[in-house]
Amino acid sequence: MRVLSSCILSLLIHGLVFALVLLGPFQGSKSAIDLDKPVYEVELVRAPAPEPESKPEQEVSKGEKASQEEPGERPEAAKARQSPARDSGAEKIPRKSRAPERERKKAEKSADTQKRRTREKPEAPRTPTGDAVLDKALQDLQKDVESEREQDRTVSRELENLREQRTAAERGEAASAQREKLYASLVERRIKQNWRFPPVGGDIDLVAVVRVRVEPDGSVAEYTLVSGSGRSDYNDSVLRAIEETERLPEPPRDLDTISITFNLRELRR
Amino acid sequence: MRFPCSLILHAVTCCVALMLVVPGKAAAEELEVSIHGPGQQKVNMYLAPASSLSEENATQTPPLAAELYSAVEGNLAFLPFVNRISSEEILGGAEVGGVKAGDIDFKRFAMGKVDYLLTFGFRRREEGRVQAELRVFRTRSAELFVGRGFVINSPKQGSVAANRFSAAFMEGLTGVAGFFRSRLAFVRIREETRELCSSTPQGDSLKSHVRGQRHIMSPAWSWDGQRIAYVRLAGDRHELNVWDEEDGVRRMTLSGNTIISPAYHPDGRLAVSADPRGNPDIYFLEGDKLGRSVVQNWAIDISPGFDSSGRWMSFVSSRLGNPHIFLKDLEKNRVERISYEGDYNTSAAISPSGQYIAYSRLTDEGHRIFIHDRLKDTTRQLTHGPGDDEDPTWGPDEYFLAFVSNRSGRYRAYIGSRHGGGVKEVETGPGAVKGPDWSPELR
Repeated sequence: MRVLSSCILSLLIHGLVFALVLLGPFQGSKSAIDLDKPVYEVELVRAPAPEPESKPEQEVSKGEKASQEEPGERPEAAKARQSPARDSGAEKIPRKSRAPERERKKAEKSADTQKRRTREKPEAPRTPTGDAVLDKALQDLQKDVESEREQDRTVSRELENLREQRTAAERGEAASAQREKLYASLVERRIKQNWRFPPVGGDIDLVAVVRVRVEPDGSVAEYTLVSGSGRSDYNDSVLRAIEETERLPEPPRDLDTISITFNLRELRR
Repeated sequence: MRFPCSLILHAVTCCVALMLVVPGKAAAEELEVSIHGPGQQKVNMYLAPASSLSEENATQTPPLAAELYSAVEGNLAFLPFVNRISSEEILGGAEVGGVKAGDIDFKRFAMGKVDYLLTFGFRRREEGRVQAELRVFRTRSAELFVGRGFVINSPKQGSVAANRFSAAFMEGLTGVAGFFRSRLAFVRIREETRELCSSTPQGDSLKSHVRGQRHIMSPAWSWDGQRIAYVRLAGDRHELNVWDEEDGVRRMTLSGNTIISPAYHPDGRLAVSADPRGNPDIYFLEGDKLGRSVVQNWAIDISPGFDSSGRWMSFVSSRLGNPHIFLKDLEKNRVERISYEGDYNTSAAISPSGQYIAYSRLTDEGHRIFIHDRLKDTTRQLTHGPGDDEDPTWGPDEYFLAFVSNRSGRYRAYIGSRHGGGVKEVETGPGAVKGPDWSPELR
């Protein structure tokens, strides 16, 4: 019965701890999802810098030495006398709030002692199961924190890589736009020189749009009058300009369609 | 329990990264190109030889038909935007096989970059008459562009037919056809004889309206094309004359000694430069007398000219010391200066729409024609000699200009486009030519 209650208590504590771990990052979730900023939630449970392990042991051993130092003592008796130390450790639990790290160390040591005891005397009725579970949870939590920190570092590295890729992509896009602009200029020049149409009197302005599909080698594969000018001879003239051009410069990669607007009026004359 | 958290974190990271790295690539797959203005303002045209419409007499072209064909050839040669293609330039031969679309293999001509193909068919009719059929096809679409049929019985009728066909072709091509529907008035000087003449812009149908020993100058068409005003030197003073085809010549003696450069306003009034106060100013006539002044200044104001709306009047004034070109807004009574360079700018001529003002400027190489574009506020030199180029006048289509030049040794009339190309001499017979004025479009 006692074992069952210990298990239930252990599960509850585990559940509570994991719930805190899970929900923690989602409190103020915006900052947690802001991938441009480091995740600092782990600071709340950051493990302390390793302290000399002898110090707490010395504290305990001092007390023990003061009350229990007897030569030729049997190991069993020594083990039996360790229980006040364990008890004192339990008494020191309220100090956790004042010195949580030291307490945690003590708790870890107690947990280790408890483990050994449990291994040696699994049936020991006085084992404080809740502390062991808490210690284990704390260890797990520490591992989790380390893992999270590692993930954060990984994500940061990935983000950095992606930023570099984006910068490279932007540079590539700018170069690509420049190439397309240059290509448009070449296309304009090539087709314009084959476009014949007489000067028209008055303020008449005519516009026709032809869509041209080009092969990778620049040859004209297909062309369509998308929007006519209303004058068949004008439409004829622009289509003839495409026909007589036959081949354009090789287009940039991924470009296979050109929409050409033929304006009768010069921009400047 | 950590797994979903890290998974979500990774998923969000990847999505954000994808959005950053692949921004709208699909939009770049169609390239937009704009072309402003054709690279060539000439269209290629092949004129097929005359062919008989009937089986008999197929080898002989009647003189009337040959003259009509020749007149059409001559007319097309005046159009700077038509480039005639020879038969040698057409691969596979230039045989057309007939005058109708069904008889012609257009592909050969299209391959030879021929834009337009002209066919000419004739048939002898009774009493020496000739039936002529003229067609122009667009070779790319094999469609008829212009087609006209005539029955002629004289060279004069042939000339009229050639002009009508040419006007239809030009109108189809450019939207305007005034060149072949107008006449050019000018003064022809032969030894001691002065003549007021008119002809087509190509120099055909030359008519001498007035002939005499006295000096005549500055002919000016009325806007209905029925009258020509001009100045005649009578003794020691000028006399304003108006020639009318029906009523003959009407003479008017105005106050002042100097009467020069008459011009018709579109509303029918006549403006002249006269000097009743001692220096020439510009006046509208009221009846046979000088009416109110349009431009009055201490300086010399001459050469009025009006656009077709009648609102704008170009003129020459020496109010700034040297003769310069000015423009007056008759509605707002405002004057603006047009020419700024040169020391001697004369012979202002405003185009029918009012957009262009042509004038003659004395340069180091001689007189040259300049054109000011009011819309673009630009001025450019149109002619480059040799000799002197003077007295510009606008054609009704505003595409052609006529002027006189002594580049051949004596003053003759020339025609060219406002872009400066295709200048051709107008054949006006013997004698020098001065003061041309182009009529409005005549119907």
